[in-house]
Amino acid sequence: MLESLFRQILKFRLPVLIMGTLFMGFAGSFLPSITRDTTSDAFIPKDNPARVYREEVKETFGLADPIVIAVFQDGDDGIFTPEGLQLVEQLTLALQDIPNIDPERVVSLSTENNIEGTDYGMNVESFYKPYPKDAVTAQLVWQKVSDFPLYLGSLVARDKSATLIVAEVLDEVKAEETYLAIESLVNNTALPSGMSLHVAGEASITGFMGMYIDSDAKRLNPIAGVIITIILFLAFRTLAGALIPNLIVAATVVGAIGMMAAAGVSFFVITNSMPVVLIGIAVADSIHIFSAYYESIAKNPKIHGRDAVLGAMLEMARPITLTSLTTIAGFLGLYISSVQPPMQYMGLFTALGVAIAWAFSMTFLPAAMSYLTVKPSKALQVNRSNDLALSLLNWIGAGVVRNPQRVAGMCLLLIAAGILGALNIEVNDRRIEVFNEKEPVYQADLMINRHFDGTSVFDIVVETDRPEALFNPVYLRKMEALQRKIETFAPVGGTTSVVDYLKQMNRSLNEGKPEEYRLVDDAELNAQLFFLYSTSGDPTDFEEEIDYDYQRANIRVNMKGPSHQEVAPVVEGIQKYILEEFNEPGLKATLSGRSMVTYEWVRSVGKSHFNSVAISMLLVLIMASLVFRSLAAGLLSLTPVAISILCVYAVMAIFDIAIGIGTSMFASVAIGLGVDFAIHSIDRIKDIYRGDDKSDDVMLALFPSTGRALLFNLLAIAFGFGILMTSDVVPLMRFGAIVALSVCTAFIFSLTLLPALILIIKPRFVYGDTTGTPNLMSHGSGILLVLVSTMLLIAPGSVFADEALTGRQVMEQVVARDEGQSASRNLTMELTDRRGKTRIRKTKGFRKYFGDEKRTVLFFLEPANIKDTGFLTYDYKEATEDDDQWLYLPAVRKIRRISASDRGDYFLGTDFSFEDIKNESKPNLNDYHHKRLGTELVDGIECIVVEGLPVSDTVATELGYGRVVSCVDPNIWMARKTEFWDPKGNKLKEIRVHRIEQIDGIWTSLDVHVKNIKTGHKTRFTFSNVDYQTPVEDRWFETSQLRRGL
Amino acid sequence: MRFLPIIMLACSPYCFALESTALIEIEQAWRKGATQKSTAELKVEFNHSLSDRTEATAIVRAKALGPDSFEPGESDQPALSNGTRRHYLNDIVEFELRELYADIRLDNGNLRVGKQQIVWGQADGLKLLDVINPQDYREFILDKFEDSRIPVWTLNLEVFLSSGDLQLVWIPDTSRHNLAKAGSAFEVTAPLSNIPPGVPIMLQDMDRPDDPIKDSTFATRFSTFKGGWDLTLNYLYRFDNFPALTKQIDSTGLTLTPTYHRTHTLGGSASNAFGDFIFRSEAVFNSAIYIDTQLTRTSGVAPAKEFAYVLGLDWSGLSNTLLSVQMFQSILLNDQDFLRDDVDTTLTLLARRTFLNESFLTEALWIYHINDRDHLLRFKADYQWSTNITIGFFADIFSGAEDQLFGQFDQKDRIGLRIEFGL
Repeated sequence: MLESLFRQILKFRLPVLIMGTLFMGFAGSFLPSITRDTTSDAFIPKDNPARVYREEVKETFGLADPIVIAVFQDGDDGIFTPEGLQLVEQLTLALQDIPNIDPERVVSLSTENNIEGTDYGMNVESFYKPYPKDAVTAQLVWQKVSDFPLYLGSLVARDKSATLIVAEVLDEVKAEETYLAIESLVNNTALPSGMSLHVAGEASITGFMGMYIDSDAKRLNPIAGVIITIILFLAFRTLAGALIPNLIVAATVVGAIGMMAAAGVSFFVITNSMPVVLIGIAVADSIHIFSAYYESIAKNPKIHGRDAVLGAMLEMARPITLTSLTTIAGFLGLYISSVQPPMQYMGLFTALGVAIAWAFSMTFLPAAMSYLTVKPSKALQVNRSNDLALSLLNWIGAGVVRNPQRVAGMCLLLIAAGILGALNIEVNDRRIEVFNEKEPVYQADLMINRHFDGTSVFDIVVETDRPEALFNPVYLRKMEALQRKIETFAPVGGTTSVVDYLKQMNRSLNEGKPEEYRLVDDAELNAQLFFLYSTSGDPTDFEEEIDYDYQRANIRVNMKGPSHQEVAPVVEGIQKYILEEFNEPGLKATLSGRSMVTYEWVRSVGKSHFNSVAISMLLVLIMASLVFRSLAAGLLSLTPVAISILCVYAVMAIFDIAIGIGTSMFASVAIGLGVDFAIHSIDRIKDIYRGDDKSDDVMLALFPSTGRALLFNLLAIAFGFGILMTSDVVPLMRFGAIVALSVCTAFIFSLTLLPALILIIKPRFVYGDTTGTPNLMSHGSGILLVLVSTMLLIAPGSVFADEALTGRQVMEQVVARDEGQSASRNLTMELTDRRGKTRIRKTKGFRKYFGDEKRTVLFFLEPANIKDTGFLTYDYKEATEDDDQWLYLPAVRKIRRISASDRGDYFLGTDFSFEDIKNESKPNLNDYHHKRLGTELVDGIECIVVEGLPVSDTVATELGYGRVVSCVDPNIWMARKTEFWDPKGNKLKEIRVHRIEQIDGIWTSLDVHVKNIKTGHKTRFTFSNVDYQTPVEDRWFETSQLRRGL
Repeated sequence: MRFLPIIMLACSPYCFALESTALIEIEQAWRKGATQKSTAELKVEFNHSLSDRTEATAIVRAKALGPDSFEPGESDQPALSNGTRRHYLNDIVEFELRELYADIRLDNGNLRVGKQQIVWGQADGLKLLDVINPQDYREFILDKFEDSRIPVWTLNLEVFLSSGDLQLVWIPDTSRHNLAKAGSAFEVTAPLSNIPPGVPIMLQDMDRPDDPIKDSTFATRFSTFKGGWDLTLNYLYRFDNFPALTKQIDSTGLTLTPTYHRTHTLGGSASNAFGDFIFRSEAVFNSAIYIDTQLTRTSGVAPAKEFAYVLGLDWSGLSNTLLSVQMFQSILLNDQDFLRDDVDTTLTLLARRTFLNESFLTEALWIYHINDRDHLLRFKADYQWSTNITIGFFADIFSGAEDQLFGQFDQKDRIGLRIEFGL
C-alpha cells in the first residue's frame, strides 16, 4: 500500500512538485495581509470579566493608555527654570498636534490649574502662562506646585528634578505610528545642556513593541535558516542535502503563517517565535529521510535513484508520521489548555505547520529527491571511522548497554532534583521586561519609576446608587481611608482621587492653611466646592476622577513598575479591604485598570501552564500508546521528555527564572518536540529486536543509525531554538533557551535512559510475542485511535500503521471501522443453487446503535409469499448476554422469538451465517486467535492476510468455522476476501466484496458474493440507497413495528 | 357492498399507482379417491401512502371452489355481519374484502382503523388468547392460519409508553365463528351433545346479538419487554365466538337454539429465549363460557369458569431444524354436570426442517387430544422452485372415534398438492 503510494508520487513527481509550489504560492499570497497585535490586551480573551470591566471604566472616566514624556533637568532648580518650563509648554503644544493624540487630554504643568482661595471664594488658574522669563518666577511655580500635594509624585518629581507630559492615544492599534511621531518629536527637539527627555508609558510600550518584534524577527529568521543549512551540510555534506530540506522549511513556514493570515489571526509577541520553531521542526523529517537515502546509497552505490528514494521513504514514512502525530498532539495540548489567545494560536498553527511539514516530507521531498543523480554522501559511508558524531554515539551506546542500571540510577537523581525545582518554581512577569534593559523605553521606565509615583496604574471605581451621592462625607471619608490603606503597600507610589481635590479646595478657601487640607463633614459644602471650582475652572477638569453626576468616582493608584509577584499582595490586600469596608448597600468598589488586568492574566498563565503540561503529556501518551499499540511503550516514550521538563524546572529554579509570558509555553513545545527522539528510538529498538537474537548487545545497533540521525535532528532543533536566545525580546530569549535545554536533555535521555530502561524492564512490546495475548492498550484502542484522530482533525493514518500490526491489531482496526450511528439501506439477496436456479429477495433494513446495543431490523419486500416478513435483532455488547431476536411471520401474523444461540446457522437461506450478518463482516474478537500470515493482492490491492482460529472447539462448533482467513485492505480496514473452513478442516465458503464505496464518509460494501464450496450454492447481496445520515427513528426497532411492517 | 370487491378487483389493473402484490394459489386435495378440495385463489394486496403518517392497505381475495370441494355452493354466513361476509359471484367463485384499513401513525402510538386481523398470544395451533377475530371453520382447522381468521371492522389503538405498549381495541363488528354449513365436509357433528338417538331435532335460526355498540367487543393489552422476556397482560370483554346450543325438549322433540354469551377474558403471555430453547406460555381465565351439560339440566348448557394455559418449548439445537412441543390444558372451575371433562389436555408436537438453503421445507405437526386419545397429524413439504413459484405437498390425517373432536373427521383424511405464484 505504502509502496504503491510512493510509487505513484514518484511517477507523478512533476505534478506533485507543481502542486506543492502552488500551495506555497497560495498560502504565501495571504502573508501581506497579516496584522500585528502587540497590546497586552491581546493576551486576555475579549470576554474576560476583568477586561470587560476595564473597558467600561475607560469609557466612564475617559481613561486611555498614556504615552509619557519625562523632562529631566540637572541642577538645584530642577525643572523649574525658564528654559525647562518653556520646553514643557512647547512639547505640550507639539504633542497636541500629533495625530492619534487626544488634544484635550494632554496633561502637563502648562495645562494644569492651581486652586487658590480669594476674597470671593476660589480662583482656578494656570500654574504659569506664559512661561516664566526669569529664575525667580520659575521658582514661584515650584512653590505653587509643592503647595498642591496632588501633583507631587504624579506630575512633578518630589525632588523637582523632572516633570511629565502625559498624552493619551485615541486608538491603541495605531500606537506604533504615534510612538514613532513622538520619538521623532523628542529627537528633533534641541535640548539645553543638562536636560534630557524620555518617552515611556503603556501606549509607548505597545507602540515600541511592534517595531521591536519586527526587527527581531527580521534578524533571527535568516540566521535560523543559515544555521539549519550549515547543520544540514555537516550532516550530509552534499549540496542537495543542504538545500532541498530548505524547500520543506519554506513551505512549512509560509504555509502555517499564510494560513494564520488567511484565518485573520494576528501576529502576537509570542507567535514571533513560530517561524524559528517551525524551521527546526520542518527540517527534522528531511534529516531522517536524507539519512536513510544516503545510507542506502552507501550500501549499494549502483542503486537506481528512484529506488533509493523509495527505499528511504518506505523506511522513514512510519517513524516520521508517528513523530509528526505526537508533535501535533503536543502543540494541540497547548491550544486546548491555554486561555490566552496568542498561546492558543501558537499551538494551533504550529500544529498545522507540523502537519504541512509532514505532508511535504511525504510527497514533495521524495518527488524532488528523485531528480537527484545518485551521489554518495561523504558523511554517510559504510566505513565511517572518522565520523566524530558516530564515535560519540557508539561510546554512549556501549556505556548504556554495559550499565543500564547505573544510567537509570543517575536519572533517578535528576528526577528528584527536577521535582524539587518544580516545587520552587514561581509564576511571575513584568511587562517592561519584554525589552532588553538597554532599550530606551526600559531606561525611561526605570527613570520615571525612580522619580515619580510609578508608571503602572490601576483604578478603583467607587460606585453609589444615586446621583450626587458622592457629596456624602461618609463616602468621601471611606475613599480617603482606602487611599491611605493602599499607600501602605510597598510598590504603591501614590494615589489620586477627587478627595484630594476637595481637600485642596477646602484649604484654598481657608487661606491656604496646611491644616485645612482636609475633608469637610457637610455634603452641601462639598457640592458648593465643586460649584465654586466650576465658576473659574473648567468643569471637565475632574473628568478622570468623578463622573458628571457625582455618582461614580475613580481612585487611581500608581505603582513603581512592579512584577506580578509584587502586585499580587497589593491586589489581594485591596480586595480584602474593599470586601470589608465597601459592603454597605448603595456603595461598592471594584478594582480595575491595566495592572489589574495584567494581574489576572499572569495568574492564569501560571494555571494554564501546568494544565497544558498535563494535557500535552496526556495527548502525547495516548498518541504514542496508540501508535505502538502498547501503554508501556507510550509511557516509555514520555519518560525522557517528562524528565527533561523536570530538569528545566530545576534549572529555572536555580537561575530564578519564573513561569511568565515567554516561559509558560515551553513545556508543551518541549513535549511535542522531545518525544520525537523517544519515538524514533523505540521504533528502531522494536525493529532491531524483531529477530530471534534478544541479547543486550543487539541494542548497540540503535546508536550508529537512528542515533546519528537523531543527533542532527537535535542539532537542527536546538540551534533553531538556540537562535532565539540571541533575541532582544526577553521572553523569546528565555523561551528559546529553555526549549533548547529541554530538547537536548530529552535527546540525551532518549538515547540513554530509554534503552537502559528497555534493557532492564524487557517490555513485551519489544521482546514479547506480539501475536499472543493482547497487551494493556489493545482493548478498544482501535476505537480510541479513531476518536483521537478525529479529535485531532487528522485523517486516520492508515498508511503508516499497517506494516508492523499483528493479526490481532489488524482485526481490531477492522472492528473499529466506523459503520455509522445508524443506517438505512435496501438489500437485494440473490440465492443461486448449483444448477443455476436463482431466487431473489428484496428487503429494506435499518440499523441503529442504542448506546452499546446494536439493533437491526430487516423487512422483506419481495417476493409476495414472504412479503412483510420481518427480522429484528437486539445485539448486546456483553459477550455473555445472548442477543434477542424476533421473526415476524405474515403467514401466521405472529411475532416469534427465535433462538439467538445458533449463530452458525445460515441466515434465512443465504450462505451467510447469522453471525456473519449480525457482525457485518467484523469478526467477534473474543471468538478467534488472530495471526498475521502476510500479504496478498486482491483486486489489485495489497491486503493483509490474517488467519483466525476459534479460541475453542465449542466456539468452532457454535460458529460452524474451524478457520477463517481474511484479506484485509489496510486502507479502509475492510476484508476484501474471506475464506472459511468448517471445524473438520474442509473448505466451506468464500466471501468476496466486489464493490466498496465511501458513503457519507463511511466505507460501505455494496456488492458481496458468497460461494458455498460444499453445496455449490451462491448468495449475492447488493446494497442500495445506503444512508447513514438521515436519522432512523427508534420505532423501527420495536416489535410492534415489526407487526405493522414498513 | 356486495360488489365492492368485484369493483376493486376490476380496478386493479388501473391501480399501478398503488403499491400492490398478488398471489395466486391453486390447491387440490383428495380423500380416498375423491376430490375433497379444489381451489384457486387470487389475493391482491394494495398499499398506498395517504400522507407521511397515514398508510392504507387493502387485501381482496377471489376464490374459486370446485363443485366437489369441501363446502360447495353459497353459504348464508349467519354468524357474520353484513360488512364481513363473502360475496358469491356464482356457485364457484366468491369474493371477499379480506382487509381494508388505514394506519395512522401518532406521535406516541398508532391507530389502525378498518377491517383487520389482530393476533394475540404465543401458542401455535390452538387458541387461548388469539380470540379477537372469529374463525372460519369451513375447512375445520386445516386452512392456513392467516386465511382462517375472519378479519373484522375494528378500531385498534396502540400507545407506546416508556414501560411498554398499550393496545386498546374496539370492535363494533358482531361477526362470530363461521361454522361449516350443514352437509359440508367439515360440518361439526361430534361433541355437540349426547342426544339420544331417534329424537327429532329442530334447529332454530341463530340468534346473534348484532347491535354494533351494545354488542361490541372491547379488548386491551399491555405488552412489554423486560430482562429478555416478552410479556403481555390481556383483557377482553367479548362474546364467546362459539354459539351455545340451548336445548328444549318437549313432546315434539328437541329444539336447539344457538345463542351467544358474553365473557370476561383475562390473561397473559410470556416468552423468552434460553440458548437453543424458546419458552412460550399463555394463560387465560374466562368468566363464563357456555358448555353442554346433561340434558337433565334445564337448558342443556351452563356457564363455566375456565382457566386455560399453554406451555411451549421450542428447540433449535440442530441446524435448520425446529422441534417444538406444546401442552394445552383447559380447567373448568365450577361443577355443572358438564359433558366434557373438567380438565382437558391437548399436546402438540412440531418438527420442521429446511433443506437446500431453505428452498425446501418439510414439517410434521401432531395434535394429540389426551382426554379422548384422538389426534390430527399433518405433513407438508414446500419447495421454492424460483423466486415466485412454490410447489407443495400436504397430508392431513385424522384419527379417533366419531364423537371426538378430531375423530369425527376420521374419514376426511386427505393428501394434496399446491402451487403458489407470486406476482
